[in-house]
Amino acid sequence: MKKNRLFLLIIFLSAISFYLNGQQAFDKKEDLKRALEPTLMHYLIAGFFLIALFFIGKYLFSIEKRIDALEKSEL
Amino acid sequence: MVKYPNTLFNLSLQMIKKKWWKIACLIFLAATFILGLTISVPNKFTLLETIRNYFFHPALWVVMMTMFIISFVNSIKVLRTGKPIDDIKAAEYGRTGLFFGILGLATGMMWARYTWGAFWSGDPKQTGTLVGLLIYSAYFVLRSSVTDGEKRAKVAAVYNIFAFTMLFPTLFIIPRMVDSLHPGAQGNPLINPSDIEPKMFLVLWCVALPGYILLGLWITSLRIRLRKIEEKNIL
Repeated sequence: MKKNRLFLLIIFLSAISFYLNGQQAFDKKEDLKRALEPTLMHYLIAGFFLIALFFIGKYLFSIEKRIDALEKSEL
Repeated sequence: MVKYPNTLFNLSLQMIKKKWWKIACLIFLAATFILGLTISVPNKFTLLETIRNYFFHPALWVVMMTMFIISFVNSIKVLRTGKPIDDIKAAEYGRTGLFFGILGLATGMMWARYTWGAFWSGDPKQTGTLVGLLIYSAYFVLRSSVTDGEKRAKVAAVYNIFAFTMLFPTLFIIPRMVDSLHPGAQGNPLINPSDIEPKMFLVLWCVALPGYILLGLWITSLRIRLRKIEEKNIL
């Protein structure tokens, strides 16, 4: 229960931060006139990172499943 | 207690209810990778494309500090109550913090290679960070050198408090007192939105940081549960 409250707090603070800084971000849009735009390579690297993240998530969930089973067998 | 029939939909619903913050963590991280690599960024002469490391490198330090703060609080609890579970938590949060600290140092060194010209240039921030991490590493050496559980918990807790307080001069005070290539003394893009493109600041604080912090908490929670099973005789 305490953990859930902590995560809700993190999400709440993120939302407040988004609200407070959002307007400023849109006001300063002009700053991006000389911007570096993404290329195909950026999308490929992002795709590679996403595949890596998929496997990290899968690995963590599988460990969690094994720990759940261990905890049940301990009981 | 409501009993759900075992349809695929209800099983998915139960899984989401139980693991929502872990799913949120993966969504935040996926958004970090997509936004971090595909949004337009300012074309700064010295930084060029390396500016995208802003979405990865500073976030790792924030996670490290978050983990170390939780570890520090648990060490104080060990000294106050002497409960073994607090010792396990202090050690595991410290371990995750150190892991993220090493990742932060590695990403910083890579960034330095392209902007400062070398992986290691003896910059006060780099040196201070290395000293801070070495002090924290000694915490684990100390833990493994004491065999008696109760004694280990107390000695390690005292050292952890020392190691945590040493982070402030090594990471935050000394590098700001001397000339450094690293941002900090003359402006800090991590905490001041006017020092960085606001859109990047938003992605870091609203997407990357929650994702990395949740990942740190997830890894640590798994390690704590494993340690609890290992040491069930003292719990």
